[in-house]
Amino acid sequence: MNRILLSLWSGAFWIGAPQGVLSEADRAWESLARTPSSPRAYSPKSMIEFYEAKERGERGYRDQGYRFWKAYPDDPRRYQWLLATVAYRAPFYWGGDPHLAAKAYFERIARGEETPIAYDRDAIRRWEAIYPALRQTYLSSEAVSEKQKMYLLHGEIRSLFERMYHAPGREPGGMASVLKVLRLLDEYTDRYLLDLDREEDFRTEDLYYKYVGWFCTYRHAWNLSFEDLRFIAEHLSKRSAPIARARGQKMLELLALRETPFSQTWTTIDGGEMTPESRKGKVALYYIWNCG
Amino acid sequence: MPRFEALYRQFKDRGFEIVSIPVDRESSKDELIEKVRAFNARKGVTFPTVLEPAFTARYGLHPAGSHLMLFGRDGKLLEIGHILSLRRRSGPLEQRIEQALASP
Repeated sequence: MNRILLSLWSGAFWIGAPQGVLSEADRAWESLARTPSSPRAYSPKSMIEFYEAKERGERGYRDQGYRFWKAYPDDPRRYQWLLATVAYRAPFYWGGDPHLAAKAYFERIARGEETPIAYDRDAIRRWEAIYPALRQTYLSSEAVSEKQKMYLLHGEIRSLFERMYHAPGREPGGMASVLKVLRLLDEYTDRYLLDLDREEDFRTEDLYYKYVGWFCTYRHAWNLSFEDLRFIAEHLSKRSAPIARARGQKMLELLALRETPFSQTWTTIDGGEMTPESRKGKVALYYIWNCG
Repeated sequence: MPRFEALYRQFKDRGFEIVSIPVDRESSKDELIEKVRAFNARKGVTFPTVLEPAFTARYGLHPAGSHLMLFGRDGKLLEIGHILSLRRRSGPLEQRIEQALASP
């Protein structure tokens, strides 16, 4: 049962334990699998308590898993833990109305208040010091399928984006994070994106269609200047994968508006026209919103 | 929207306009018009709404987000960002608009 809960919670994929007598590794794994397995188990009284409990739970899971990793180098279940640890974590999509939660969160930021995600910078630094070696072992292991490796790379990019998105302004060095994302995107693209035989439920292109668009949208939160955006756009547009080139090109088109005004004529909802002449000499605020 | 309406009323006599660009990938054009008309009537929106449902796709912006783009008198892009992160990082919108109106 614990195993089922764990695999549900992590959103990852159960590798399957070998059958037989309960070994020492089994017992260690059982205790690892008994860590809080659902965000609902925390019964949060408020958002702050929720995020603190979540952060504690994640850290506990990470530390316990690392002990397992060190103690049982030949046990394939350690890969399951590693994948679950970097897997996609989006606090706002766990129960409740994600839009309301996100709105409340951004309103706090707008008021200049502390945000509720408890960030332990030392813990993050410690984790970042040991992670590259873990990752290398995972990616070069023969016990892990190519698909599982693909999920890890995908999860890394997504969790990095999520971290930047949910903790705007609190990620040290916006451009440093962006460079990390770009490097991971390149690695992932070179390895997997050119393979068009993808699973239907696995929207690889989302990484480009959805997340790359965030660079412009959240540039203030990440302290990115227009020069930084240009650097990102040019980098993407020079890549060999068509999807990366296309995204880079779109970003360049957007940045070109810094030099060249819109020249299109638009129709308004009342059937009128909005021409470049009618817009001339005016300061304009465009509000682009989703009404779907 | 009430906030934008207030901004529009505050600055429109000095050569300022707000353009609302609704994006909806699922509705047809007629459905979109219907929906936005009802919305504008309900919220008392008086600034123009433009039909460019492919705007976000064209410039590679996140299709589900809400974005603000501020253009100067010369028609060049001054500012882009998410509605809230922009407010937090570069001061109140009113201030940015004042600056843009003051420069030629």
